[in-house]
Amino acid sequence: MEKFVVSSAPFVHSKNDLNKMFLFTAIALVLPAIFSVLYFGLNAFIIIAVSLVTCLLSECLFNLIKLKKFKVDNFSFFVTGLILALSMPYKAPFYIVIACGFFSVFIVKFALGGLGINKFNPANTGRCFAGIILAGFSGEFYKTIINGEELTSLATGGTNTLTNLFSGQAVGGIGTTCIIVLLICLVFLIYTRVIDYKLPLFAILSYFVVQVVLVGLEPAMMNMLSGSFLFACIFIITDPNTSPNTLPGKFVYAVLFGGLSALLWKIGSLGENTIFVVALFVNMLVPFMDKYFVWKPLNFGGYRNAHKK
Amino acid sequence: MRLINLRGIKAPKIKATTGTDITPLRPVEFYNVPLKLKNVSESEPVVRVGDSVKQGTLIAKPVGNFGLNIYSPVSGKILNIFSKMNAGGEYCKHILVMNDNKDEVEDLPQIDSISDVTLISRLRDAGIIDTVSQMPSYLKYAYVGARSYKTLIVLMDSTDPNNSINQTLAEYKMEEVVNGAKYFMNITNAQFITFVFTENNYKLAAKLKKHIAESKKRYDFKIKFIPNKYPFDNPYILASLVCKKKINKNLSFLDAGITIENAETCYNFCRAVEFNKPVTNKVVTVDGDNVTRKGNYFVPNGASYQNILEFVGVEDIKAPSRLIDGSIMSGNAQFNEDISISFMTNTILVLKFDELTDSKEYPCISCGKCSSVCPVFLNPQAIERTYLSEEIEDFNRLRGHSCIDCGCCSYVCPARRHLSQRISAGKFYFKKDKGEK
Ligand code: SF4
Ligand code: SF4
Repeated sequence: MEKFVVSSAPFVHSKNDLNKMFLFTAIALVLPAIFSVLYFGLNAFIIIAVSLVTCLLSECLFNLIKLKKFKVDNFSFFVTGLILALSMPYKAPFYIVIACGFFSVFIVKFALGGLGINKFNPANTGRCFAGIILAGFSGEFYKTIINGEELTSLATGGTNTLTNLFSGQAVGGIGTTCIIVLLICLVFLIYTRVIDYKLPLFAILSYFVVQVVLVGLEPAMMNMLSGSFLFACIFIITDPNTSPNTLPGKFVYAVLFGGLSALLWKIGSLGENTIFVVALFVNMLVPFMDKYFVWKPLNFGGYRNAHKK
Repeated sequence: MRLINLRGIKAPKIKATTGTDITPLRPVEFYNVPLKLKNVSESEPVVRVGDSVKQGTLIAKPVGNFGLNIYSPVSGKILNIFSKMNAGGEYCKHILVMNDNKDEVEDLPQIDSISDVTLISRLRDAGIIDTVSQMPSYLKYAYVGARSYKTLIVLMDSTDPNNSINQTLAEYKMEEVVNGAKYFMNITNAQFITFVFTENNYKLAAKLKKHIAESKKRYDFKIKFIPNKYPFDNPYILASLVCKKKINKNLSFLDAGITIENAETCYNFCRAVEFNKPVTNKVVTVDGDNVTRKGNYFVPNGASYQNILEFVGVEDIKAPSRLIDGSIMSGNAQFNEDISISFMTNTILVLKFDELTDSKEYPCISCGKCSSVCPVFLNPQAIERTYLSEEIEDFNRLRGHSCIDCGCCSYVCPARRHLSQRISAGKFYFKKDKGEK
């Protein structure tokens, strides 16, 4: 033998690595992006393109300032940019998208620590930021197309019907309108183990239960499948960095998200932004959950030579 | 409600090394017998340079009370006694024996009666090592009152991804294993033996059941199945899976009355009692993607890695590869093939160099995968952070010392953090003087 390579155990790793996780998430996001361009046309294309370019440039800019290198590390800008773009209403003007993209990536993601250290989900925080800016304008921006007509989306979600949902005409952001596409993404991400199936499961169940109590069974079914919520369940609350680590924490987090969204959707006045604001709120609780909702470790206590006594 | 069964990582259902009997290694000319094994104190040679020995002649015996008798693996001549590195990376005395190919054999004296005293002294005399607790087997029984053990668990299987020693012994040497287990039952206070298999070995379990029912020395036994997940054959995990007892710093194995043996120790014990053979061979699984003839081998004590690799064949000699002593999840990488194996060596792996394993380390993304596989319910990511920032108090508070070094956390981490490595280092550097809360 020539020579041996020395390293420390374990000598085998699971196939799932960080770049692959980003890649799979990006692949899953491309599908709703394509659909939104088909459905909303040029507007959607501009939003997506502007958002991606802004995120890319923000990351490069940050790296230029900090590391003196104009580069990106991985696909994470792509994921952030697409999530942000797909959750925007289709009438959002491009300068707002630029502002939000910069805010998401430059400030929330990199200035607050960078990949893995930032405490807030960049895309979601950017979307909430957009909500704040957009709230200053008239209801004009919250329009969507249903059956070929422009409609103002309603806070109560009353305009959704089953056929609308499945033909891609639900009320919501550009990428959240087709339930089938979103369900395909969900299955794909769970199958590739990028996301933990428990989070969407708990969230959807609790959302459903609260909705049934509030508005009855049939509207609850409609609302449950409303795009933004499902979109947030798949792409936002499952962000590894801003979701709790342990099963008890995950349970509390997801149930809180589902329940509060349902409640505020009904009684609050945030309209389209409800879901994203709630996601930001539970996001803030994550460090707390990571500290207190954990398993108690078994205590072998370094009692290694138990036989020796 | 926390289920340990959901923890760990899936072990392969069928290991590449199962299905064939154990092959003895081709004899070589020189054997370098190490006198110190991991965790066991160094033995003192009782032979001098130039003495001739037979296979099974005592060549070293313990200095104090806690050592191991070591026997010559072949008949031949003692050429040298010198200091050299052993498989654990420590320098210790080695005895160099030259094989004279005469195959003369020396046995232990016949055991006069089978009682617990004679059996325990046979455990000591034959130099039997317990590879579960990694110490001489008699220490578990000799000084502490073997009668306080009420539960005897015999591990017939291993959840390690490569190691198939126990399965193979149970399959091809069932008679010896079953009888050896019986002698352990004689020593302890156990009313029956609990044979533990993993869930993919139902056939073997059925065979064992049939074998004991048909044999003359029938005895009471139970068969338990554990999930086929690594590292569920760890003694701590096994105790909580099989006996529902949590071994901790207040409850040792002795207090809980649990003793865990494996098929290999039973096999050696039976050979020592019935055939008066001291332990001179170790069964070793040789596996890895760069090995031509994977399988289990009887390796004489003191054979080097090189002897083994020459015998089993390496596929791609030129390519860079890894030589690993121990499990793929927690073994030690070796840099030199001229090191003798010891009785602690269960597995030898020759792996092709794989970029993935050495890929760049990213920042932790807090995905929680590590804490969802840890069989001890630790939070490796948080412990790693306390190690890096040297917060000893927090390291203790998070129970870093409870880590069993299984390596599952590093295995699953998508950011390729070196979690288990850092936690082991933390256990080593942050000695437990502060006490654990
Ligand atoms: S922290 Fe220790 S016990 Fe837990 S998975 Fe990692 S190596 Fe295993
Ligand atoms: S598995 Fe790795 S990336 Fe995930 S929480 Fe643990 S250390 Fe962090």
